[in-house]
This record gives sequence, C-alpha cells and structure tokens, in this order.
Amino acid sequence: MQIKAVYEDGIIKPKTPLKLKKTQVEVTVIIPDDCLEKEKPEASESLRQKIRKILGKYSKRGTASLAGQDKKLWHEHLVRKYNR
Amino acid sequence: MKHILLDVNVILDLWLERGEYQLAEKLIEDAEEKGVLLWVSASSIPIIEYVFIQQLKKEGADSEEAREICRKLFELLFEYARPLSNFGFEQPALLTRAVDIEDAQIALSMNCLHGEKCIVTSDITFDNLGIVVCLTVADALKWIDEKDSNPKENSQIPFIDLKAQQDSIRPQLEKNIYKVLHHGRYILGPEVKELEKRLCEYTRAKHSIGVSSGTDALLMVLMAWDIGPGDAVFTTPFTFIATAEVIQLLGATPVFVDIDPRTFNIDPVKLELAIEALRKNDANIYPLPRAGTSNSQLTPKAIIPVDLFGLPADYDPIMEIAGRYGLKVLSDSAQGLGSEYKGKKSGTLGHATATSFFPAKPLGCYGDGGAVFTNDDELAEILESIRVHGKGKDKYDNIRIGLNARLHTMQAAVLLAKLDIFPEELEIKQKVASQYTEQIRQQAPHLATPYVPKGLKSAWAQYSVLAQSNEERNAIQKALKEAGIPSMVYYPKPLHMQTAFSNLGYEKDDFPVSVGTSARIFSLPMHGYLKQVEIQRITQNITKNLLSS
Repeated sequence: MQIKAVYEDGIIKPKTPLKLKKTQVEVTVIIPDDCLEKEKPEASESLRQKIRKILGKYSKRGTASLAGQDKKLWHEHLVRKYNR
Repeated sequence: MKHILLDVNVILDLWLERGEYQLAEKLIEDAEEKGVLLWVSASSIPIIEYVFIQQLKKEGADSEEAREICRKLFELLFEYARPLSNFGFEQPALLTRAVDIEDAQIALSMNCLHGEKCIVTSDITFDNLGIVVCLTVADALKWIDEKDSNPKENSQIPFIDLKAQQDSIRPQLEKNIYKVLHHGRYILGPEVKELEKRLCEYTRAKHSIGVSSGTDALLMVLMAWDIGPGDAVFTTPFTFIATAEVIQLLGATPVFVDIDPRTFNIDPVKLELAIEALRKNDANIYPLPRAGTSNSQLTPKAIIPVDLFGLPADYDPIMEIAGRYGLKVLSDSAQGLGSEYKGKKSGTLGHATATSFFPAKPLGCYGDGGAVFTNDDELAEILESIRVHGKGKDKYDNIRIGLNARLHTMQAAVLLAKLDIFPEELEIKQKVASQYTEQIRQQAPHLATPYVPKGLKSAWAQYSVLAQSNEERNAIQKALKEAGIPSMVYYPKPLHMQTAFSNLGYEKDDFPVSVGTSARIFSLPMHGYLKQVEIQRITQNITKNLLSS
C-alpha cells in the first residue's frame, strides 16, 4: 500500500497513524530530487589544469613577464581609441 | 584577516604562462588554503581583458574566440579572487595625489578593506600612493607564511570580528546595499520579505516577521498575547534587561526563576515551584515578588525562557509545564538563532520566538533589528499589524494600538548577505568552542567550560567560562587585558538586583545560582575568524595567570 509521510531530521512519520504487525518494516521512499543536497565534485583539478583547459590550443608558453609592454599596449590602445 | 590584491601583470602572467606564473599559481592556492582573501580591482578588468585578447589574436584567435576564452578565464579567476569596487567619491582626490592614475586607482580600492593587505605586482614602478605595500609574487608567498606563524605578541584580538566578516562578504554586501539605494523602497522593501522567507526556510518556522529590534520582538509578542497589569510572566534574572523590561513596560509583573548552574538557563524544576508558589500565594514554596501588585491578584500568563549565550533552554519540560498550567512560551532567542534543541532549530521551540539582529549577535545587522518566529497564523497576523501602528487593511485603518517596529530594508539587505555564510560561520564557531574547551580542560581543569547537554547545539553567541571565585575571575580578566585580549562579563548584576526592578522587592539571596554565577563568569573572544594561534594565545594567557597567582 502507498501512504503519505513526512521526513524530518532523520525520522519518517506517516501523516495518518498506521498499525503494523512488526516493529521493523522495510519501506521504499521517493524523495523529490530538489530536496537532495548536490554531491560535491570529486577532487578538483589544479588551477593550472583549469586554465589550460580553457585556453585549449592557445596554451603554451614559458616566456618572460611583460608588465611594461602590457601597459604600453593598453596605453597605445587608449590613444587610438580617444584620439580619433 | 589578510588581503592580497593581484595586479594586472600577475593575472596576465598566470593566464599566459609568463614569468613567475608558477609562483602566482602557488600564491593563489596558498591564499585559499590559509584564509587570505584575494582581490582584483574593478579598474584592472578592462586592461586585463584588452591585453589578453590582443595576445590571443596575435596567436591566431579571432575576436569572438578570444573574447569567449577571456570571459571563461575571468569566471575562473572570480572563483578565487573577488572583484574590488572603485568608488566614485574617491576619484577626485586621485587627480592631485597620483603619478600613475591607473595604479593609484588599484591601490585606492584597497582602502575599504580591514586588516593586513598588500598588492602583488611585478611592476617595480607601481604607484601605490604610499598607502599599501607592494610585493613580488615570491615575497608575497613569504608574507603569507611569516604573518601567519608570527602574530604580534600583544596585538589586540577582537572580541567579535565584524571587520573580517565584512571583508569576506564585501561584494555581496555592496550589491545588496546598492540594490536598496537603487529601488528606494526603504520601508518594508522586497529585501525584508526575502529575508523573512529565507529565515522561515532556515528555521522551519511557518512565519517570520522582521522587526526593529530584539527588544521589540519580545514586546510585540507580549502585546499580541494581551499581557498587561495583573499578569505574571516567569523568566530568568540572569539575562539582559530587555527580557524582563518588556514585561514591566506592559504593566505586567516579572516573576524570576533561578537558573541551572551548568547551562545558565532557566531551571524547569524551579519554574514549576515558582508557578505553584504564585498560584498558592506562598513564598515559602519559591521566592515571589514582595512589593507592587499583590501576588494573590497575579495571573500566571507566560514564560520567557532565554537561550543564553546561544544555548537553547530546556524546552521539553518547559513546554510540558506550560501546557499543564495553560501558559504561553515566548522563547527569548536573541543570542540563539542557529542553535538546535533535539533536532529542532531555534524559532520553533516555543509558541513564539524572538531573536535579535544586534551587530554582535550570531546573525547581526549594521544597526538594530530583530525577528519573531511562530507557527501560529493568528499571532503572525496580529504581529504584522502591531509592527505598523496596529494597522488593519492598510496603515490608515488602525484596529489596535501598535508600534513603529519595522525592520529597515537596508538592514535586511545586510542580513541577506550575512545569511549566505551563516551556517558556515556556525560550524567554524563550533570548532573554535571545541578548541577552547579542549585547551582549557588540559591547562586549567578547575575552570568550568560551557556545558552543552546531549542533543543540543549552541549558536555560540558567547563562550563563557566559570572561574572558581570572583577574585580568580578578576585576576584572569586583568591578565587577559594586559595581553591585549578582551573579555566580558555577562552579566555582572542579575536583574532582581537592578534598581529598575527594585519595585518587585526581591532580595539578593532569592536567586543564589544567578548571583554566584554573575560573580565568577567571564566570556572570551568568540567569532568565526579566530585563528588557532589566537585561541592558543588566549588559553595560554589564562593558564599563565593561574600559575603565577
């Protein structure tokens, strides 16, 4: 038979009282998917692996840092953009 | 709490695998592991975006492809580092102070953060305005470790660290506050409704009503229950004045009941004695008020158990007694939001629960605030009316005398940001409490650490310890103060000894447990941002004092 029950803090209580012949009975319970905590993903990738995955074929390198050149590139861009 | 702001070049090096990118990667991973917050100035974002896309285009990517990769990399970056706002009001001053305005904007964005902070950059000419230290990636790695293992000997430990908490939720906090400024619904705006809904989900109470303070939360419930002159309300004298103040404010009479010596909460055995004493007008059964309204004219109406320091009162016997005598139970859970009693959360343990959002409370706003929880539909409706001057169908239809007791929308916005991290903070505080208890038991076993009965969970609003004597308590507090460690006494004088309640005619010895506890108790710093080394420093300073005395 099917009955309605409420699960709260580890206890399943039938909405209407039940008289059972045994003190222990195995039951099947349907729990709505939206009530379940999502399982945590398995051991995550390293930051490097994640970056390389996003970069795909553009992932390579080992060149020197180019802080000065980056800045120059940005400033040239600004000059081009606003000095038209 | 420590903060690292990543400069443009560090992020570009990381993405493009240039220069010290492996160290940058280690820095990000170390920071996450060691609780150092990482930031990226909002003003850096367009520069990073432009330079990165140009680089990828040089390598053959088309604009759309480069932009998509860049977007995904930013998404990933924001899992580790938070974007830091640049405020408009700070910009004019930059024009006179900055040599390099881009750098200066980045440096200035760190002004809003508390604690120790640095900018990590490979640019040796970075214009930091002289307000924040600049480090290379390699030096920043050392900086994290040096600072972590070497706290200054006498640096002040905050009793509750609201600044660290603010920094950890800053982006969400700014967003929520901005939303209120933008929509302008300052009174009972959508944030109040959202907070009430989320608090119902959290506590599993049917109704949550946001109000102006914890005190008003208590007052409103008593008003809704029509408590007034001639009514007796039983409560503990070992609490903050608000608990009993609201009873007397309505003309009713507080009848005090002593506390359990281990939990510091109302003792259910004595509660029943007090009810019987009042019903029989026999102070030989239990001490009763000696002045004011004659006890024979008082009608027992309600009980206000207090979840002191965040530990729930013993609700099973309290509710059973209340049921037998036909009394209402208003749970004063000003300190107890987040606590649990036998699987049920605070908010569902009495007929109604009042909580406080005072800044230092487990869930605190940036001002005054509070809430009432109940499963009683009729009570909820009356409370919503009382909250707005006793409104009926609207605020110009007044069906009862009420209050102006609404929770401010701005405070609800703050609370929503804090509620996001509330369960996590409770877990961390549980760990802090366990560490305190373990170390105090090892080092000073004669001190009584907090007792948490089986099946209960404290919200750890306070971590309170009982010394053996008043002299020992005072000596410990003095030693802690000298070591830069704050401690507090909650509460130095029980309510029955306060002038405000002298009209009740109670005598000091009527409640010996409360009196004895107030002479010996002290509370230690307790918050989710206490470090292990700080806990050690605190407990060692307690022990050091005991050994030298």
